[in-house]
Amino acid sequence: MQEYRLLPLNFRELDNKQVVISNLTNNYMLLESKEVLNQVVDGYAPAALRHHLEEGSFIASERDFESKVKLTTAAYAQLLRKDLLGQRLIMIVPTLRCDHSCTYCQVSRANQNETGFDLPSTTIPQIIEFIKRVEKPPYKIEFQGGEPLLAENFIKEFYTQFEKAVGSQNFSIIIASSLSLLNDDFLDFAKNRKIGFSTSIDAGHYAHNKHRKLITKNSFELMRDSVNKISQVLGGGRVGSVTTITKEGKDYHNDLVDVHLNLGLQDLFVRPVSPFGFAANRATSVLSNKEFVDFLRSLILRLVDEYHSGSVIIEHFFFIHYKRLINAAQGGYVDLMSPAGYAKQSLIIDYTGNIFGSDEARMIFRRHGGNQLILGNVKQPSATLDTHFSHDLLSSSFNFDIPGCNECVYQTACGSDPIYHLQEQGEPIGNKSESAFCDLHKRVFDLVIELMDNPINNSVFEKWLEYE
Amino acid sequence: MSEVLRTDSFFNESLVGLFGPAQIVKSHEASAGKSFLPRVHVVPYGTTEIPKKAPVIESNTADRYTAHGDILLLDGKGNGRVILSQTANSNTVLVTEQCDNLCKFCSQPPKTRDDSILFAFAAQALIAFNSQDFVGITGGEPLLNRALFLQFLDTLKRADCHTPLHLLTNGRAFHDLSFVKEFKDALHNRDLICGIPLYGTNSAIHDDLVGEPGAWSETIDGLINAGNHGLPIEIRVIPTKRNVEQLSSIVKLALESISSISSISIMNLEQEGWAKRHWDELYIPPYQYVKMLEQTLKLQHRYKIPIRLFNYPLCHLPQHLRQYACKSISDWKAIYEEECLSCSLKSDCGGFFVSQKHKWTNPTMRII
Ligand code: SF4
Ligand code: SF4
Repeated sequence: MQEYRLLPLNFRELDNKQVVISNLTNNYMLLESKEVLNQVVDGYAPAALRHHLEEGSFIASERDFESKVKLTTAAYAQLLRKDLLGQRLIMIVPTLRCDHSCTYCQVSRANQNETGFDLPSTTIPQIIEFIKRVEKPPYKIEFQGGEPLLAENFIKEFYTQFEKAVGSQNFSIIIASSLSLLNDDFLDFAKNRKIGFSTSIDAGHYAHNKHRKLITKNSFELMRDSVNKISQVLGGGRVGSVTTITKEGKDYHNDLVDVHLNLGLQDLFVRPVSPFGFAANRATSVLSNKEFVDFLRSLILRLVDEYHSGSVIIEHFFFIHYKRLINAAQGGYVDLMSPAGYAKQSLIIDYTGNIFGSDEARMIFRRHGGNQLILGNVKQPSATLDTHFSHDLLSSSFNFDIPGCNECVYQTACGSDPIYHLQEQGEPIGNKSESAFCDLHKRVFDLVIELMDNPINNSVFEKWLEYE
Repeated sequence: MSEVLRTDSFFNESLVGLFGPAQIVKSHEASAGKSFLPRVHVVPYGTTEIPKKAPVIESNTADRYTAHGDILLLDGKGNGRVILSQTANSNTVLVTEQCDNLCKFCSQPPKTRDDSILFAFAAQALIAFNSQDFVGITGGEPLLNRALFLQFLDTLKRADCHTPLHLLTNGRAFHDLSFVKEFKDALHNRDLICGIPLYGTNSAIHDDLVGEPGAWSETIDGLINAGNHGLPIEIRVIPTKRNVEQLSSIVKLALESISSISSISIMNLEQEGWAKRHWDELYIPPYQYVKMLEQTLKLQHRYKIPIRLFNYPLCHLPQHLRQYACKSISDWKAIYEEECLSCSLKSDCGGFFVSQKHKWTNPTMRII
């Protein structure tokens, strides 16, 4: 191709002076320098790059220009559609009571023996009716807390009634639990039923027990024993983990991996201490985004090594960013979608029966109030969703026209989080130059680009896709 | 006198003068009487009770390779060819020999004469055969005469024939949005997959291979339109010397922009029709692009859409890629080299095309 026309692109210079370019088809390319970018833009792209640029719909011959524009539009429509479709995760908070009092707890838990913090089991038929009304099978249900296992009778009862109502093949249940209270009776119940667990494992044994507080100071040991028991009784693949990274844990990526290897867990998910809800008040242990991403880099590099020595462990916070960047089919993640996942990808029914559009929304409500955040209550007869407010939020959550995002190189991979910006900046769109959401995700995408550039890493990420 | 030319073709004097589709009957079948098509009896050699009503083909081979209800196409000169067979692993009917592309590797080089009668034959054959399995519709370009194709769908519908169809088209007709809508309407919920070839990420490569300037941009429009209307699409790519370097990019371009793609097929070049003429210019042996195949096949894990290899003899692929190869060549079309006879993979392997016999190189890696 001697002469070509340029199609629209966004770009970003990285710390090492390389330049990432991208376009609405969600194709990414790494250029050596700003000078190369200038050559591309001015019509003098280096010959060796031209066919890559053409295949990625960055440039086109005069004759193909119109078709490439159509292909770009079609590709972008596919991206939007991916984020528009999909199932909701329906979360239920059967109790706010908890045996732990974690320093970074996001929901203001209640003490173990308090009353008035439980969903009565009489609401179960109403909850089931509500779920059937607003969502299609196969249903994904997650029990959150508090500590859901303090309400194990509620869970059992729900399972039994739900199975009768929708059929056992049409749903699966995850219980998000510290697992300190898991007993044999419940394990027995979980046998032959579609129940999985998501548990917290913090980086570093010491940090775990320090932040995940029990009077007995043995949260870690209890979790470990329960995970082992689950594997013995129920078999593998029933437990996933969530790791909160605090200052005390930030050097313990190796420890974290070892724990997962020992417990035989394949999937982990790390996150910085949430800036939402109550955790935001207790800032002492909060890492900066930079520290968090440094942790993430060390962790991922260790996992790449693990893959080469035969153990597959996948860290999903990084992996979601990777999948979104390469256009993978399963790149849906409620906090990183455009339009946002709020109310569209998730709903949460809390212990009062109130319905919220996301976990964050319920936390913010607990902390600041804001009746608009309540989308309904399952106790109301034939409860549906009041979508008025969520509609407004969602329609301003397409990031192609959000200032800052519209020119950002990561726009097509990134998402938007109206609830976060509502809480931090008082309005749902937010100023991205001051947004910790933007800062965090941008850094993680930079990390993806950096690590992918090395074929050794990239081939492992490609292999991870086969485990989905 | 009857003679078996190939397992799917017969000559029989009693067929002289008969023209178009006919249905095979085996006299022992209870429903032997029912068919609106002319009937041809097939019996094993030496059968004593030969049905009185001619024509009769008396042949063990013909008897072995046909089943009651199979459809023959007769050429009027006494030749009959099985076009719809219950024992074949896939069936295809030809609806036209005309085409608006002139692909360098066309296995059935287009003709220009009026052959609209073929649509009528195809409709009759499909209705009589009444299969619940997919039947391929091929050309030429089946959508060249759009009105005729819509009429064909309508005929099937009115005859209550629900056979699912696999339509092999260059997709150019779908660049016209109003035709896509008419097409969709005429389907009336019939299962139909469009197999549409894409040979390049740009017009320079694609148009050169299909011999028609402007074809690429119409095919791109057609793919976008058909996908947006929810027509399931199978993208077909033939790697050649001209486009093998961008094989994975072609597949990626399709997967990222076209909706409702149900599968991707990578087709090894067949040494048939014009491909013979352009063989040296086009053919590249698979071992020379293994890396590219790997890179392309990997995309199925990313997009969660199956990508398969067709027409690749297993011994031409490295072991780790054999799981993606499909046994696609119809039984009667497949042949195996002498070396194949002792090959342990033979039962899973598609072998070679009949038409490639003696023309092609030997299996490069020999017996496995
Ligand atoms: S939030 Fe930040 S990183 Fe994400 S698209 Fe917007 S500007 Fe880019
Ligand atoms: S030797 Fe013949 S049967 Fe064996 S893999 Fe090759 S083509 Fe197939």
